[in-house]
Amino acid sequence: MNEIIKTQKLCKTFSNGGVQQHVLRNVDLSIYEGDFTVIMGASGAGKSTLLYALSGMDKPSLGDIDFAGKNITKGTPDELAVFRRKNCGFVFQQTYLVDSMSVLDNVLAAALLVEKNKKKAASKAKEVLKSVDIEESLWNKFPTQISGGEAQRVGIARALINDPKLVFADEPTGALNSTTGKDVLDVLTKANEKGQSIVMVTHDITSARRGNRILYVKDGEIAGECQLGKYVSGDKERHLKLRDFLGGMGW
Amino acid sequence: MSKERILAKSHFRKNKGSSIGIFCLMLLASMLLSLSMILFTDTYPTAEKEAERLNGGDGILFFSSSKIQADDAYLNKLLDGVKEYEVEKALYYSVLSMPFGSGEMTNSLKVGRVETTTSKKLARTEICEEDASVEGDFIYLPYQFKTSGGYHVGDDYKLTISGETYDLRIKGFLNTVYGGCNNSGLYESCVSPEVYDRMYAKIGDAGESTFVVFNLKDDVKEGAFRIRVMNTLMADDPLADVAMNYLSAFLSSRTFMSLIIAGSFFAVTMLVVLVIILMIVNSISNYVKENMKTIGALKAIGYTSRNIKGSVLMMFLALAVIASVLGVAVSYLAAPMIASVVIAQMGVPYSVSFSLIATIVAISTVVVLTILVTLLALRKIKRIEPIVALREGVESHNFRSNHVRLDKTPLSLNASLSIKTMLHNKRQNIITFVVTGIMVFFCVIALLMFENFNLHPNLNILMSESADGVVGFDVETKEEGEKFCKSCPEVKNLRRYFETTIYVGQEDSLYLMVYEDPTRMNNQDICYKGKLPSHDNEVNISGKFAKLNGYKLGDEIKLNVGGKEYAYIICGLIQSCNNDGHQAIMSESAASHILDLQIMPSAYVFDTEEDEQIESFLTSCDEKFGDHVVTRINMQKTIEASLITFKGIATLMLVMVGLISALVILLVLFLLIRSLVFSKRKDYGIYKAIGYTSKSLILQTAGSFMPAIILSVLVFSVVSYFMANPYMQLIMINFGLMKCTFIIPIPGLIIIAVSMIVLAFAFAVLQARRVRKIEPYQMLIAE
Amino acid sequence: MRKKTFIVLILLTFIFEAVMTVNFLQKSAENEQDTVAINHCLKTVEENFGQKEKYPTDMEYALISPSGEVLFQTSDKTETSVNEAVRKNAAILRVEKDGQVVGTMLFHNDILERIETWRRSLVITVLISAIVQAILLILYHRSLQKTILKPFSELSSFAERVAGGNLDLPLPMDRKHIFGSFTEAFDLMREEIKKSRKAEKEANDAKKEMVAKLSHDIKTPVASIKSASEFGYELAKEEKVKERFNLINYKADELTVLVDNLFQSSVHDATEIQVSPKENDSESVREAILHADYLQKAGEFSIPSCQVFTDKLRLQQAFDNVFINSYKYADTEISVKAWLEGGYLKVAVRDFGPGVTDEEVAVLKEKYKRGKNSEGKEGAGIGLYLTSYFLKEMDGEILITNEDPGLQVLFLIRTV
Repeated sequence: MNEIIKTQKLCKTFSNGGVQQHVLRNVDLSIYEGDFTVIMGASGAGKSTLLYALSGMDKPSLGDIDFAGKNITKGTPDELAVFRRKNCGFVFQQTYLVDSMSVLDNVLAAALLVEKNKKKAASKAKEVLKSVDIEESLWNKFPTQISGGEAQRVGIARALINDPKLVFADEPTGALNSTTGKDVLDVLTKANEKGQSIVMVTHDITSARRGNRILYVKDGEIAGECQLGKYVSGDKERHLKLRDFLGGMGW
Repeated sequence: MSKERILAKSHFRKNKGSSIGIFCLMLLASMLLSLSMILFTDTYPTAEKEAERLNGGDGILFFSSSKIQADDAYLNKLLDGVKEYEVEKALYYSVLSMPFGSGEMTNSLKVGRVETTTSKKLARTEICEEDASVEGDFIYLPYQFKTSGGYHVGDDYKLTISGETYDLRIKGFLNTVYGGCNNSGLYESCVSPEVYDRMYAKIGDAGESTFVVFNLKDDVKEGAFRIRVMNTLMADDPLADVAMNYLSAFLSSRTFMSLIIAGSFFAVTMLVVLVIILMIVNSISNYVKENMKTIGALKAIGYTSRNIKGSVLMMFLALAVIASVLGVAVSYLAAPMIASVVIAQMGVPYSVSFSLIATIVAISTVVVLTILVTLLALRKIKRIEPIVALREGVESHNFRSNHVRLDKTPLSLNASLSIKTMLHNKRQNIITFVVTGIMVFFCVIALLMFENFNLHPNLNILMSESADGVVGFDVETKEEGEKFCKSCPEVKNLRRYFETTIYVGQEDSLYLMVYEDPTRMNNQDICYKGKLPSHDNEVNISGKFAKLNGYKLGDEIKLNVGGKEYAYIICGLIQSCNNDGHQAIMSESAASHILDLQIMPSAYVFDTEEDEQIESFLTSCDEKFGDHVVTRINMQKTIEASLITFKGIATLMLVMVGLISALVILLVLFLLIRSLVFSKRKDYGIYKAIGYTSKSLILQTAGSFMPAIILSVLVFSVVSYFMANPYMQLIMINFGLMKCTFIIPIPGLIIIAVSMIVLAFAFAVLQARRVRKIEPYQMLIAE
Repeated sequence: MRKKTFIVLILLTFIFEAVMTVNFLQKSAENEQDTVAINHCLKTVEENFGQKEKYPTDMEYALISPSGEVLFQTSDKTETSVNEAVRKNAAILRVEKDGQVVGTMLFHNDILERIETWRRSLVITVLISAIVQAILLILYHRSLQKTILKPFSELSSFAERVAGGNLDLPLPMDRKHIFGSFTEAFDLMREEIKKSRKAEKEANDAKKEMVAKLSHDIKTPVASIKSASEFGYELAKEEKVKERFNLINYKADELTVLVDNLFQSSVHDATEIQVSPKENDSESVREAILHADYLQKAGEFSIPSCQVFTDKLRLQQAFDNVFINSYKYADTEISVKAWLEGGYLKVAVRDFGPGVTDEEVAVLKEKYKRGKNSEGKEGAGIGLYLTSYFLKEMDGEILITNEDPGLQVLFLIRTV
């Protein structure tokens, strides 16, 4: 299995009014190609911080991150932005779609970063939208006019559009109810089955079950790791294994 | 570029309100800029262009003498050094009061025959409007009678010359180089042959005067030529009425008033442009603030700062281009109105033509400024870290502090929350302060223009002396006349004066105004540096002349006339729009060194208490002295005459300036308050959710604005009161006007200040009412 | 304040100085007299010749008659003769009246005085701006100190603390982040050291604890061996067998001493012994007493049934100590009584030995204090101290009183 990301002694410190808080401590971690990696942990354990640090969006205080052969702790913000276009897709909890752009434009805005040909970009955007089950009738609506689950799937389409090496998902179902959440997870699982590598942060076991590699973050460190097989719906043994692992971690 | 275009479209959609506001401001700016530019590049040079088109020559000489036989031989000898010249014989009245509008204009008048006048090769006189059907006793008048005097073809025109009244009809108007404007001292007209003959019969010994338009050879100096010619003529006939002027002098006096109006307009325009720059900066930084998360999300998916900047720039650029093109288009619609104000004084036929420079300057100024200002305001996009933006501004390391603590403050809840809002919007407040201040200043300038060009026209700028009337007696009766004037109780502030020409060496001449005591002049502003002359060796000269010839205050200048020379000390510099800046003032005692005061005619400038007394006094002079009264001017009528139409058009212009200011103020307040309410939306949602009423929120919002506005209005009212004149002067000094004291009426200032504050508060409340519409929940989930 | 502001302000003061200096130089180059003013003055005098009250006084001048006498003088400063006027650069002007020269006006040239005033004002300006500059520099220095030197000294005091072993105080983030990731790394290091220190200590404590427990566990069987050997000694008939039993007895004593030493060394830092009390049945107290009294010197006793707040292990050790002391020093019967009173389960353990003096009672609970009667006996004087410590940690107390005869130790055990 190929490593996409390899971190060395990754640390991230926040401070408020001068008081330091070390959210990540010397994290050594690899993310592998084809994996659906799930990062779990109690709230405040540093899972989101880890996710954004891995993607190079948040500069770590110390340590190095090797992402697809590039050290992303160095480089200007713009260089990193250009790097992210091709290598990272982001799915946020609050979707962060641009309100004043139609659904299609939201996806297209990302597609055009890589594909200069507008026609090609548009046809690709449409294809991806279809693949995340967004019907054509919604394409010209604005994000505020569609449901939360639909919006999140548009967000996933935006993340997938440039075939990134890795998709980062930060609590993608956090703001959704369980039914719409399931749709969103299905879309992510489907993408993973097609070979898309995904890193997802969640504190929800239903979401975590989708992953094949579970990392547990505690006090800014990777406290444990659990390898599960690929997700199969209704696999009880797999579920128990995960339960057992999380129980051991004190979840 | 397509990705930026998608974003730009979305920016516009998101910020429709402020985009439209900015668009309107840009439109106004480009319109005003284009108008100013049209005035300067197209309207203002009209007189000069026309002069060139009409083959204006270098200057004009005219003299009337009963002694001199102005035949070709004489003229050839006299005009040695002239490349070409053309002679026209016509009647000439050196001081004549003519009806003009509802008033009376005092000027020199040349009356010619239609054929000779209109068939000249040099300084052609064209008929620019004519009704061929007018028969009988008709007259062609200068075009200014139409533009400024309000006459039309076919109107009756009653002219009284030396007691003889001519009932004439206006057959047409003349476009003329030398005799088209009251400021240039000569009116050219032509009448039907019968009238001409009648006038000719009445004129007496002098007969027809000689008008010579000439073109000098390249190596001949204007000053020296003038002096030689004048001296020759004076030597041949000391009693001859001689005048000679160069085209440049005519043009500068003809266009002076236009320049002031265009300059004032320019002054106002600059302020609007300044406000617009500030508003663009403000709305862009608000844009960045309001769209922090969107920018963060865009950066997260791989947009670089450059891409985002590009898209915002593209939006504002599109706005700027469309607005400026539209603005320029609108300016061409508005130009005839504004231009007519400028043209009125020149009396030149004019229609607005497309000015490429004006268009390019207006559009490019708006566009370039927008680009610069946008790039400047967008610098901070580079500093936005995507993760910080997504975390709602929580930085990795922060050191925030709480300024007004609710538990410690003695203020009321509403007041302290207002202060909190205020402190969190420091930049916003500074911009509000400055913009409001400029708006106040802008209004004060508008007020100043209204007061000084319209309500109480400030003629000191245009004339060397302001008074209610002038009466002049010939040499024989001047002592008696003076006695009579002094004996009339209604006549106040009698000032004896006469005008003549004196020479500086053999090169230059100055138009000299001799006052009994110049320090008693009403128009003290005429001397902008130093003091008015009072002693027998002091003189004031035009600033322009001094600058041109290197004279400084305190220098000695040798002046001569008729072979006598005396050294005077330059004790002051005067501004003058007439005589091409070749003017001087001195006292009688000083003049007596080089002039024989006994043979000089004398005129008396006087004031009266009641306006009606002017005419009655002048009439009583007429009755007592008859033909011996050589000059009689009712200044009130003259002022009325020269401003009657101008006032009407000026009102129009001022209404426009007023409208523009009102519009700009409304737009600015709209943008300012809208962005504040918008940026505080979430806070209001929270406040509302925890139980604040809409009313208290509205007051709180409006309240948080008012300190900056009230402070700004107070500060800038005072600043404007003192700075408006220097500001106007700063602009005017570039147009040759060294000193101008415009009056700023304090009640007007107070009205401006109060209405500004009231308007701002009303607007703030109105805008803040948007809070009412939004449900707390909606506000909370809003980005 | 930001660096830029300071630099701009300081630059402004320099520009101000430069402007003032240039202005001064220009002014001093303008050494001309004001001809307009002089002319005005002269003309006014001419016009009003002889009427001194009408002479202008806005300039400094003297008016002398053609014969040289002073007709008028605006002040003493003015020159009063042509000669003096020439010497002082004064302007000398003829006063004419009706074409006749009637006097001479000598206009005082005040250029030197003016230059002097300008110079003075220049000096003042330069001084003031120098002061302003100095203040600015001091402020700048202060702000530098605040932004750079203060974080440095904070960092060095932090380093000192860490070096000295104080790992509790964190290193605050400096505002300007001048040390970069060093600040974060250093603080992280502190936390890591603290963490490993804690882990190390925990391991150590656990070891000691084990030894203490083990030594106690050994003591009981050894005591049994001893009593068994004593019993055997009595029963043995043969001298040889007796000798052997004696040896066993002797060696058991030796073993007891060794185990005691081991126990004492492990509980040396007794304050660090963890006491974690929780709710227990009073039956546990009874068990502890029975366990401690391995020589079964205590007679029948009953414990009221209740819930107590105890750490079983530590309570056991407390009773152990008291019973061992009693065995050691009194070696009499022991009476145990228990009753409930005032929120406590009170257990009185009394022997009938010699006891201690009243003065000694007061100090028995202190560390390393022993009674007089302890001479010649093994021990470190730590037993009662520990007992008292354990009971206190369980929110209880021991009270030691002299009875006649014997010594009584009263356990106050918190009930719940």
